[in-house]
Amino acid sequence: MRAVIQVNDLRKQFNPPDGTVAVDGVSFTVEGGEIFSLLGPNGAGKTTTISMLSCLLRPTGGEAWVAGSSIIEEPRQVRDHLGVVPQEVALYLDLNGRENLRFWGRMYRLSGDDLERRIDEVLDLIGLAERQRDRVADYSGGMKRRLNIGVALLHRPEVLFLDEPTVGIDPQSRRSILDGIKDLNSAGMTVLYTTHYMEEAQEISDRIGIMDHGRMVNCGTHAELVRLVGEETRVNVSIDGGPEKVAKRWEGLAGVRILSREGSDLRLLVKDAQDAIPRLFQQAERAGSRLTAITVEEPDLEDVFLHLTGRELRD
Amino acid sequence: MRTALFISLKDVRRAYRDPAGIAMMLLAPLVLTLLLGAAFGGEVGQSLTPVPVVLVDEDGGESARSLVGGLEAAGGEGLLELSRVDTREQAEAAIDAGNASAAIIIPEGFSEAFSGGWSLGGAGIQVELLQDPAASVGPRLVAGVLRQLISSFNGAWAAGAAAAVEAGAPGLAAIPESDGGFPAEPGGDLAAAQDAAEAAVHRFRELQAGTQPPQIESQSPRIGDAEATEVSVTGAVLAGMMIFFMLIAGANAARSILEEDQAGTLARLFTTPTSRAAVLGGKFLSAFLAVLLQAVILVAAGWLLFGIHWGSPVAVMLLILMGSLVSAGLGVMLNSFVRTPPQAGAIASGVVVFLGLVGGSFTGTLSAGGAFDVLRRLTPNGWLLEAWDLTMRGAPLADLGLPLLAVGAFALLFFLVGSWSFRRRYA
Repeated sequence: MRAVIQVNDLRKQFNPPDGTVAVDGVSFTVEGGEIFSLLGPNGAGKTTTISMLSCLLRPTGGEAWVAGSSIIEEPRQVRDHLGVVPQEVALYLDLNGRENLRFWGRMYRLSGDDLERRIDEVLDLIGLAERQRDRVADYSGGMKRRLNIGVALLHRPEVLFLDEPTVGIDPQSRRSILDGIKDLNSAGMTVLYTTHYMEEAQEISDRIGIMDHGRMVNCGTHAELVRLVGEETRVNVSIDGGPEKVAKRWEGLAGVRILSREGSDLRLLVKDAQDAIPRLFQQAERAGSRLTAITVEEPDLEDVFLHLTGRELRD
Repeated sequence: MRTALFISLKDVRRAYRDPAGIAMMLLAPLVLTLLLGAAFGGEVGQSLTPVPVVLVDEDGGESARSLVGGLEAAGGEGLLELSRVDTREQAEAAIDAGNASAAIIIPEGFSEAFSGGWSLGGAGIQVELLQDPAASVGPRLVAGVLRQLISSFNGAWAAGAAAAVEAGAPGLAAIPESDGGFPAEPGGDLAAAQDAAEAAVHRFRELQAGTQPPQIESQSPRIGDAEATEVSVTGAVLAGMMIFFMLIAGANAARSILEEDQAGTLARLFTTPTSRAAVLGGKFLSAFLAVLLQAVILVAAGWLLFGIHWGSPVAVMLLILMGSLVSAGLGVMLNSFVRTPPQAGAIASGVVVFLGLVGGSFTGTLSAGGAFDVLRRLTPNGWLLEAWDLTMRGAPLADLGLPLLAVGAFALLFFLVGSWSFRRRYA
């Protein structure tokens, strides 16, 4: 399968030479028909990366190709093959849904019957055919998000970039958007998706690139990434009485790492759970506390991120 | 080009869906014209209201009658509303009662002094002008008319003197040397010179008695070969207001660049195959179309509501086009230098008000003269006003060449600077 997106050592520094380095030598490849997610906390450099690939920002180093065209040498050709869904809703709120689609369709050089037919198709796809004559200002947040995505689909792009498209919307709309992305991908569209929601990346992605502080920390399928955590298992416990004292005792145990603590609930990563769990009970008893609940889970991307960066994804 | 047109049509549609924007673009200039027109000229659609003046002729001689004739001619031109009273006290009472803005007193001895050859404003005698301290425009107008009439009287003496010299008299003693006359030269034919001067003055007086003073005629200026048409106050005011609000509308329409930047739609436009030049062109075109539509509506409203005679349709179209171009250019330039729409609003308002003040938008086509006339030509408003004034007076198209060229130069300059700044910012 050919690489539709090829990124080599991409770098962006704002206000060089002393300004912030937002993206620091990022490299990855996205194959045709793949959903590739960039996962990382806010400020990791995901949006800057996608902005450079959309030809909105000029890189200060490296190179990238989208649909076979260089983002530096051939930005016009890149834009022809690209649909971009920005992080914020970028629509004309005082126009109605159809007027918005018509305008953006013209910007993608569609016209006449072809444009009107395509608008109808997209309205059906995003479920807004009934509300097409209403002003966008009167749409709900989820409807705006759907129209925001619809605009990027008008010209049937080969590659779709979505920059955190589910931020701030209700679970039902989120579900609808994620299902829609999977449907588009099933129809052959290559998708580059950025998110800081671990569950979303896990659900829709073929491969995931984990970013932090402008760097690509690691990249692979969900299974490949989870294997990085090794033999560790996630253990969630609830403590009755003195969780601080218990946590202090557990920190000294071999093969036990405390991931987080929220009140009396602790998340741990432990090596060899069968050996470790009895020791956890023992130390809690010695601290005069009692474990009221304990669950053992396979590690997820949150644990992977912690393993790779030493920080939680939500930090 | 098509893409730019689509961007502009979208912007114009959005601009004219905004009720506040429409009020600012259309209602404000019309309402202000209504108010200012009423303040300057009483009823809208009329010319300047004649200034009420009372006249006291204490002299009653031939030269005084000649001066009165000149003033009556000014009354016939619609500048003065002349009424006569017998005494100075009655004149003062008329001013105190608010029945007159000014009073002209022709003192006793006026004709004798004039016949004797003394300069009217000099050592001999003075015509008095009493004015209502509460009024400002009216008395100044009366003073201007009076000054011109008296100049014409003094001019008679200059003509007489010149005639005498040309006749070969080496000296002229008709005016004593102590009063500014020419020194008598020994051996000069004094009698011949006096005869020549008196003949010239006599002839001037005869002409003056039979005709209106030429300076009063000049109150209705001739433009080129065409007969000048009087400009109504409402027309003058609306022209100034229209130019001011066109510049405001241009700045507001071009502000959509910043609004789109903030809303994220500008960045999204840059992710489409649309070039930056097309985006800028579209923004310029949208500002141009919005202003053009505004100007057409205002001109039509001025004609239909206020009966303003704008002049030749071709000239009016040219002026609307050039005014729209310069407004759009200024709008693009101003918005290319600021970051946010509120900043743009504040800065554009300040700049446009400044241009309006310097360029004369608030005084309409009525010129204050002097340095102001030089300063106003440093602004597009000043040139546009001049062109509107010429058009309303019925000037031929050729006379509009220079003002329109100047406005075009401003438009080009504004657009180039704005374009450079825009490209630098969104490179």
